[in-house]
Amino acid sequence: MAAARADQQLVYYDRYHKQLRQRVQALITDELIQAYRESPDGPHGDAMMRVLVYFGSRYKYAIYSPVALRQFVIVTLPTTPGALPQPVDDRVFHDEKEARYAMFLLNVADLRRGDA
Amino acid sequence: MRRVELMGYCDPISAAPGQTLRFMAAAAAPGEAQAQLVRLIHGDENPRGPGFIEQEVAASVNGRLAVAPQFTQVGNYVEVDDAQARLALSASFTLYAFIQPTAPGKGRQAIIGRWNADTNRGYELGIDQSGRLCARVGDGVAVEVAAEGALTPRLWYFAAATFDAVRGRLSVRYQAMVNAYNSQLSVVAPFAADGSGAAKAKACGDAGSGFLWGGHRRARAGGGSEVVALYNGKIDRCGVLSRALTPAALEKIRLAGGARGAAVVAAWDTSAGYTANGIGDSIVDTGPHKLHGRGVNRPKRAVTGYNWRGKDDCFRLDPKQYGGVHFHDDAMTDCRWPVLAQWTVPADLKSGVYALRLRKGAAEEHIVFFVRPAQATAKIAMLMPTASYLAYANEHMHIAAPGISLVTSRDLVLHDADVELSLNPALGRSTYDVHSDGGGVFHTSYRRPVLNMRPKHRMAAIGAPWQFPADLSIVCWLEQMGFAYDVITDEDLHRDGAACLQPYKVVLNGTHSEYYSERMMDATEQYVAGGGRVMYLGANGYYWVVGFRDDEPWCMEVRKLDSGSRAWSAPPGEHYLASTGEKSGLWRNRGRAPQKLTGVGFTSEGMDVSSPYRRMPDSYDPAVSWIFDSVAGEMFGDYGLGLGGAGGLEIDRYDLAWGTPPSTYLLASTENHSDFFPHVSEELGFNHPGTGGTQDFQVRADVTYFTNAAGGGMFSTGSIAWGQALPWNNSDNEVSRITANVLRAFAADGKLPGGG
Repeated sequence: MAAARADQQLVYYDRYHKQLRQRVQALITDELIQAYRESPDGPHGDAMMRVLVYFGSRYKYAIYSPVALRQFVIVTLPTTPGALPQPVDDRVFHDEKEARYAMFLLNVADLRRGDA
Repeated sequence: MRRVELMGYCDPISAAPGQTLRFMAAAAAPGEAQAQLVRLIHGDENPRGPGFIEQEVAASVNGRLAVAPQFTQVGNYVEVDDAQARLALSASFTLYAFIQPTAPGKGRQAIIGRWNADTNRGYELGIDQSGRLCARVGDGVAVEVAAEGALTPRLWYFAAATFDAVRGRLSVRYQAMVNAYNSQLSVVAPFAADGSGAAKAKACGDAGSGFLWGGHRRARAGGGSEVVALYNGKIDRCGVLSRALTPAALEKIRLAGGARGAAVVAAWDTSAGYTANGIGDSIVDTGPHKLHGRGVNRPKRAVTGYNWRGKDDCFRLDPKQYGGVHFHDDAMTDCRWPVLAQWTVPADLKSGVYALRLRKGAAEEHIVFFVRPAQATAKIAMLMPTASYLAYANEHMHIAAPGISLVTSRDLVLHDADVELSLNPALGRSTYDVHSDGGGVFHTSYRRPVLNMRPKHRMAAIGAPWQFPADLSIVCWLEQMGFAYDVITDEDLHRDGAACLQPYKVVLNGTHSEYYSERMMDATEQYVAGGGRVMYLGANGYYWVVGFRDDEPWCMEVRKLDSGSRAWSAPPGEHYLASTGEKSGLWRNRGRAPQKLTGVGFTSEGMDVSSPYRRMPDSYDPAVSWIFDSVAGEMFGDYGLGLGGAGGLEIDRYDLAWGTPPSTYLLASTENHSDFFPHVSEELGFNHPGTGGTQDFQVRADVTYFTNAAGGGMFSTGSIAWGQALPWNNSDNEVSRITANVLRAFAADGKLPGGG
């Protein structure tokens, strides 16, 4: 009987994702970063929409709020079932928008490093 | 990150004066909790709104209560009623079962048997840690044999084990039962079609515990026992014989779909017991001793069996093809905790939203319930959409839910309840989640702590209150505006039908009344047709078809089918509810689009930012312009606790093509939604670009109004966020004024303003 082979779609995914990452990276500018800081909820232009969809698809970071509406900590989401999110650093934000902006910058840094 | 150290639930969640509530609770460590009855007014702690508001109420249930950790049996299985221990076999035997494992290799799993994991006594047919079919017997020492080759997930097999006590031989074998429809793979694919194994084994002792499907028992450290080695997958017809059959005899059983003859001890026919209205948890034994089984934690019924051939897509057409019973190791519909306290609702307690607040150290819990009146005390009823609370109960759309940020277009904001849900299997799952084997969650229950049916809860994926805590914004508005009202629930509406609504001039529905049973739909339609008035203060309501069994009103079933905004799709052939026999999925796909009842229906969702409304020309018509009395300007609703506007989160649209009554007035519509608001998939034939808010005119929230000849009326706001705008600025705002204008008119005797 023929042996089961590894999922070959993942090979294509890696190839596609590399090209996508390059396209999104080209959209990141200082102006776009500033626009997100000023208005994270929009309205957004097409470039920002593409960047946010890409970051949303990464599923790497989230915000943990130990005190609802008052304290915000950026965490990495677990990749194994049953594991807990982990704080990325010791910063505690007191404004949700500031935390979201800091998370946006982490995503940008990952993207520029090729780690996204 | 903190665990939730105190949690509880009550049963029922809706009670009238004179009825008794049972409260159950668990604490991380034993101790005393301070119990206090509170009336809930508002939940959302957002400082831009009224904040959290509760009122302490004197009650006999108040005081100190002893709380402790509690055990919860997770996973579904079947217990066989075998009081005379006819299945305590010590001599030769045969076990057979048609099976479709969905997670072979996920640890040891028991299929059927009578095995004691503490004493290594008994017998069992199962799957070993390598995913191989195996059999074991033991009389103090376990002997196990596995068939060669791991089972392939989601293929049907005929599996059997024989123990020949005379020859001292234990054997196991399987044969694939794959046709063009019933399995993950087709017959063209290469897979292990059969396998077997054998070993020497001398004795089979008495397990001293019952015969189970889907698990076996072991002792718990704290006393009692638990079911472990939980199975993931389907079991169809199966049985036990009192002798070791030959391969030829087993082949006869495989071809016949079950065993007959003098050697049969039990032969369960999982396809027996269907009626036109579904099937319950009983498993019928056609053997001589009638050793019937009963499912625990709702194993899925009305699912396809090993012999499903694709043409008949409902058990009503051929129940013999629906012998599958699907088990999941993480299913949970009833915590079965001991009763902490019982309390009878006193005759003088005002109808409303209540909670038993428990405090222990820094831990606090609100066990929410609803008090309806013995008889109507007001012209206004607030209908709390508890069926929809059930659907979302303990949703896991946060940690370990890749893709959710794309649905909501928001960053996840996690709280301790989300952490607890990701770590604590005893809390079960919602109908927005999948089981560990990837199957959709069909059943949800309130016989467990529901951490998101709490006043202060904020939904991680939305960044705002959702469902129950959002509905408290409507409750708070009623209080701030001084309206007299009673509280009723979906549970009451489903049980009592139109009689639940008839005493009221007007019924307000909540922010997201998404899940409706046929009785609830019929009752609402009958009420409005007969002159009743409804204010639908939400969106994406009257959407999914759900079912309840009369014997277990705490447990709801839904199947999400081939269309609609959904977290999963039920497998082919499994579209009908075991609870009622009805086709599930969307009401619009059964000819009852929500527009036919309310004037509007689901058109889009987005969680980036909510929008204001602009008045439409109809709103200036003298017949309805009274609705906008004291509303200045053309735009309104650029505020609220639902992401900054009255029009957003999920939104509904007027559409004559979907059954909006032609006499309906289109009063106002939202504008300028982003492309993070996509037009819903169920309205798209071909996918194409341009279906987001910036390019598709159908992405909008509509406020509509219509009346009928009987004096009935319907006012719909088309937006979940509407309710969360009501209490803005101490309820002094245009959304509040519009809602109050309609509510006063609907609650008044006589004709409606404007000649309606």
